[in-house]
Amino acid sequence: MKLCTRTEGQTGILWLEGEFTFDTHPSFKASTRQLLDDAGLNRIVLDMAAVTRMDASSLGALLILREATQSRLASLALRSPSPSVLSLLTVVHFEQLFEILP
Amino acid sequence: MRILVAVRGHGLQAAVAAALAPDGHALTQVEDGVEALEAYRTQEPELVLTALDLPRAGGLELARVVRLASRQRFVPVLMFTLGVRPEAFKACLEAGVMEFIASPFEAEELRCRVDTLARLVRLQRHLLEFQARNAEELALVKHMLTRITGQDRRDGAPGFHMETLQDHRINGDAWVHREALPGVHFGMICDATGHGLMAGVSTIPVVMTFLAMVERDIPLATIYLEIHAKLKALLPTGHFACLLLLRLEVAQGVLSVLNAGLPDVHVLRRDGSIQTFASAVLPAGIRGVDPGVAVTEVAVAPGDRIFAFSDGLGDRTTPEELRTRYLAGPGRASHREHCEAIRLRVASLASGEGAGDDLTWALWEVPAPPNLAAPAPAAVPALLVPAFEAEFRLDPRVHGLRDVLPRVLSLVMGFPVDHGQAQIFSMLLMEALNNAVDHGLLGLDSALKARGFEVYEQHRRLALASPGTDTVRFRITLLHADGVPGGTIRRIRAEVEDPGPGFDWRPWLQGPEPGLLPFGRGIALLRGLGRDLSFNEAGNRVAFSIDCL
Repeated sequence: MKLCTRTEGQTGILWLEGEFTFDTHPSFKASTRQLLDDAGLNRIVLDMAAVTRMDASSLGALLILREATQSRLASLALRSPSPSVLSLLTVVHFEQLFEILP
Repeated sequence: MRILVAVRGHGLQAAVAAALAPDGHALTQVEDGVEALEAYRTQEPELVLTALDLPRAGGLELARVVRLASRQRFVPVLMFTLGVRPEAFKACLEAGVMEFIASPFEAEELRCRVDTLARLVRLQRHLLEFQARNAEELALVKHMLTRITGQDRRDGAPGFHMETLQDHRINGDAWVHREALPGVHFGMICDATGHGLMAGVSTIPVVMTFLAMVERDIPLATIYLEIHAKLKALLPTGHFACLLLLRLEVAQGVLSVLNAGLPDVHVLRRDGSIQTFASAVLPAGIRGVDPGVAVTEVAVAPGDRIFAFSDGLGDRTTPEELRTRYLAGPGRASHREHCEAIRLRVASLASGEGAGDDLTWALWEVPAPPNLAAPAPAAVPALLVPAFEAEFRLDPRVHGLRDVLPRVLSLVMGFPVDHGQAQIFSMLLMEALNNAVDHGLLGLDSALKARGFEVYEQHRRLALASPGTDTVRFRITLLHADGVPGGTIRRIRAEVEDPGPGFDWRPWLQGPEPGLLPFGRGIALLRGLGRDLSFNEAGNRVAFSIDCL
């Protein structure tokens, strides 16, 4: 999976491309740690338009990130998940836990 | 390390021995290829040093033999490169040579290269040991899960088929079916996150909690919340379990569904129509969340089928395949044939590429309800007299109800009595005895159940472990028509008395059904399925009957 971070004002954006699975957790964790450590940010957005597949462990990674942002009083949103990813998020009702942006 | 030094010439042999002596390696030295092959076979060296120009069987042949055997034992080969042409390097690498050193050589360089290869050997050995330990632990968890869920029993309830096709790992799926009470079937499919030990260990508390609670016919919503609380307490953030909970009450023809994160559940009607139930609840165990709970109830008829599966199967099935290969109408094939068709299809998925996740599915067929005879008064003979009567005393500290009740039921079944009604009687007697033991003898407060099933069970276990001699008394009377010796049993009556102070039973007989309350269902069952339900003034003695014709 490819990852790219950028900031827009106080929002840190992590763009993901490819398969978001167990193997990609170390790089995902490193990238999100970078954003979490940036004291100037109060919001993190994961741009998931180019994510082709997620598995259950990646759902877990999202939960860990959610807990970390909550402890830092930052907000977290998932942007533009693909239909297949959105379908997975809907089955497990993650729309109750995450702000999902178009 | 044990090192095989297979090089030609005393000078080279002596130089290698002198260079490696300070490190204490055990050397086997040969100057001939055939002797080298024999030494490799008998001495089992951990490292081979050789050269191309070995007489009779060259170093290249030795390297090939070592490489062929590498599946059983990893042994690196280091080649001395005196006189090796560039094109020969390629052949050496293809033969499995891992390291090269020029000859003549510096002693320190040889020691360093040998040391590097030795670290590689140790690493590989640790990896094999880890894999072996991991496999052993996984096998243990698999064994435990199989025994806990009863999946090792081949004779599952007919018409209630559940199955998981699994690769060598544990991938977090588990399924359970229990007929907790006659005609009341519970089922669960669980898919815990992760693989291996993490997934297996996560599944165990889910299954054990489910099994303990369905024995008491506790509502699905309460079971889900208990599992959710347990997993939140046990699992780290990021781990959870998707659940499907089912309860089928055959007599009432009602299916209850709680789908927390699994693919749609399908009810296949006999007329060919299909009703679908999507996930409506968050998976269990997500921390920092108080999930809402939604249970869907639907009427079902005998012959209707319920098909459910975990996402391992869902991910590899298109909607079209689901419709044509799995949701075949019940009218076209028997339940057994339907299961066989699904099993073949799932097996073909498992043999394909990318097979990794568990493939779990369930196909239930709603059976015909037992004969719940509620005869009109005119059908009952004017006079029923006892044909058989027995009184028992039960100390739950010595014998559990689950041990005693089957024996009592077999006693009743020895008489000419309708078996379906006898089973319903057994269920009602169990409810009455449970209440007598828990509240009358052990003094447990019903409201304690609202604090969670596990809390209630802990208090119950503590109370059972306390010393005491009180018992619960119960009497069973089988009645037949007067003047008909050896006649069919028309009614079974039970009376249960406990040593406790009793309770105010009037609201329970006069009020509405307990609904989703975790307690009060026993009296509701006695009201609904029995007759002549009555309590003594104090409320520590209950009597009820059930008609058998």
